[in-house]
Amino acid sequence: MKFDYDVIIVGSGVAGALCAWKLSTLSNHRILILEAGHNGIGEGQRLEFHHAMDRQGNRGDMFAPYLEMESRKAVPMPEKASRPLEKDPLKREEKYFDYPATPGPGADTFRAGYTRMVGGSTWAWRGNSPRFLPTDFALNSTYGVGRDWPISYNELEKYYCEAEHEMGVSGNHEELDGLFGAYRSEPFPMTGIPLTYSDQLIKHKIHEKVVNGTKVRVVTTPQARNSQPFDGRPACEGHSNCIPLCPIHAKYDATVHLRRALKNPLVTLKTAAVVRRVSADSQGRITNVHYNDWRSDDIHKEVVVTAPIVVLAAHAIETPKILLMSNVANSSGQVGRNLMDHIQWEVAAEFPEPVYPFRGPQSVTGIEAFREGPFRSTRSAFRMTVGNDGWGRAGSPAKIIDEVLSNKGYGPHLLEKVAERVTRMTRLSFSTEMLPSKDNRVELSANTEPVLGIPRPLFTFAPDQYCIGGLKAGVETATALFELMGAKIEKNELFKNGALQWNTAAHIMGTCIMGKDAKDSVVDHWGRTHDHHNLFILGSSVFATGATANPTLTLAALALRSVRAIHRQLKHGVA
Amino acid sequence: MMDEFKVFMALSQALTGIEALGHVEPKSLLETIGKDYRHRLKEQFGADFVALLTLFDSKSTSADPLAALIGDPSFKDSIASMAKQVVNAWLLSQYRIESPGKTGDSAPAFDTGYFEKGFIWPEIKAHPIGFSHRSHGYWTKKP
Repeated sequence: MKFDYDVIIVGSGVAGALCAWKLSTLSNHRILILEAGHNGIGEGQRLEFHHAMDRQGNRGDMFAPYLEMESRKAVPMPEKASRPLEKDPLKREEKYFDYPATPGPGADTFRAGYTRMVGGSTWAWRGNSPRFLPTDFALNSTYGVGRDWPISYNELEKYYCEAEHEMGVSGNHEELDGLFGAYRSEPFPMTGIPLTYSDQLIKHKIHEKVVNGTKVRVVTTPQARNSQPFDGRPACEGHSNCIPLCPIHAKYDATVHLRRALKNPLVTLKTAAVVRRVSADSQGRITNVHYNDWRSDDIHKEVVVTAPIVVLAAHAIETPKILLMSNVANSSGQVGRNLMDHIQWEVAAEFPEPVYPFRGPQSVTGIEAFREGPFRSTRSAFRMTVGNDGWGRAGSPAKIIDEVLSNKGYGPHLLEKVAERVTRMTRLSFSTEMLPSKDNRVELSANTEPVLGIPRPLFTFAPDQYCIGGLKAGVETATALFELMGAKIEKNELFKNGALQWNTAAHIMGTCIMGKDAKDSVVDHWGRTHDHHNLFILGSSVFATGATANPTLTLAALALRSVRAIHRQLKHGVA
Repeated sequence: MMDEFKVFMALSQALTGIEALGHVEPKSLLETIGKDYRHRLKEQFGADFVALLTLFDSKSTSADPLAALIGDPSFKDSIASMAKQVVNAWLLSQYRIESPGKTGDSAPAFDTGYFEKGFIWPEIKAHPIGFSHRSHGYWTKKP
């Protein structure tokens, strides 16, 4: 059979972009990238997004720069897609996310957003790039909970190094080499981002102190943000705007590898292409990709392209949706299941002296010490971030201004009163680990999005007791740390009227889980579906557990590893 | 008849305590911004905006017009919220539309066009978020 391309990649986020670029360097593969979004990837586009953000009142919103995109009409962006479970007078049930008409007991909302754009969700990420720990890949065999991955940290380590180099991760090797057994065979491509004034004050107060039986070390978070000119991009200038948009491209995003890949004339990017389904040939190989072009004259016309290898890299909601719409790769019944996020919370405080937040990156340091321990058999670990952005989601300077004004603090001393508090704003946030559960899932809704008539995602989701245990421990720990600092802690209610309060980290994982056993997982350790050996899945959807580290570096490392298998298979067929 | 711009600037100066708002130079950037804020706030809030200005104007002969304004029994609810939005405009270049259950920074925010000129930034010794104009590593030092 003659194919249109050698490989079709669905999705142009970090996984799809890395895959396209790396494959293009290995051989003369003809590669097609299909992307639902339609935006530029040059610096002019970045400037336009910056201006768009300027026009939004809520500039800190992770989607603020992207709210004016034409693509949003045909390709709903799930920003603020979370809504109450029940229908409400504000008609928020019309948003992209959907829930069962009768949510089960304990059901909660799914709150994580993602960007359906050329470049994917790296348009709206902070750049934090810690590695997983060895035990994160062996959670079940180590602690008797969750699952084991079919690969180990050691197998992934060299790809971690490659991903750090490709993405330009800055970090301090000596601070992290050997962290809970996570050895590093190579240094970071550049040293860590220098600590903010705020970090220095906080570190001075708590570094090497023992809290709840654990020695605290404040270390520089590895981040895909340049600490020196790197890869043609400048060093960070500290615009304090990492989310939603680094205005100078000091922070990595997938446009880096898209641009590199597209220098090769054998690589084609087709935007505005919303994949509806994939289908098999007579031998059961997934060779056909069906999409609608929402910028064409006939948006409902289905276009079909073919390739001997198809890669789905459309993130952890759209990828399983495509599989479910196609009714493929699901003999295990696990497609869409094991949906995970990093359930997050933060404690805000006023430091005893000005720390001057909003100068430099939004976060530079973190505390890794709480990511591992025997407690993981009963409750989640957590990774702690030291913020440099005031109170983060717990409140902006506007909150302080409002409080001062509500106390009739108008007049000559207003600015002084505001500055007195804003300059002391600090926060500690923590991300916990959900266990993979078949009950947390995304399915196809009977309701469709209005333009192309594609089913909206239907969520059944609830944070589990395992991560709630981690959240409680996080609050206790953050409280103890702030007490050590002598900081005044803001009112913090993890439970309000009995209901758990939590934030999404928007780290969507699971839904096409990786495993050895084809009966209870979707893909093997190469990201190849058990059911169709020419269908690969890249991205955090393949994660078997969520761990406590931000997922992008790990999904990038996995993608770079999968590329080797894809390349081998193109050259030599299935081993 | 009330000179609305003049009263708006006097009100802005009184509410924020920013002296510069009390004596803007003709054709200066500050005058342009002031006229723009007056226009945008009036367009958005209409009667509440006019009511706040009228109330403040009525206190102009008081020894302490600001104290007289915020001590007035009608300085509450939508009028008090209007005063907050005048301050928000000058400090953050945004206003919020408050409603029951959606007040303070939980209320929807709208841009008033001069984010970089917000008076909060120099006061907290930070640059406007997203506009550093500084070189790598400046954040390591106490401002």
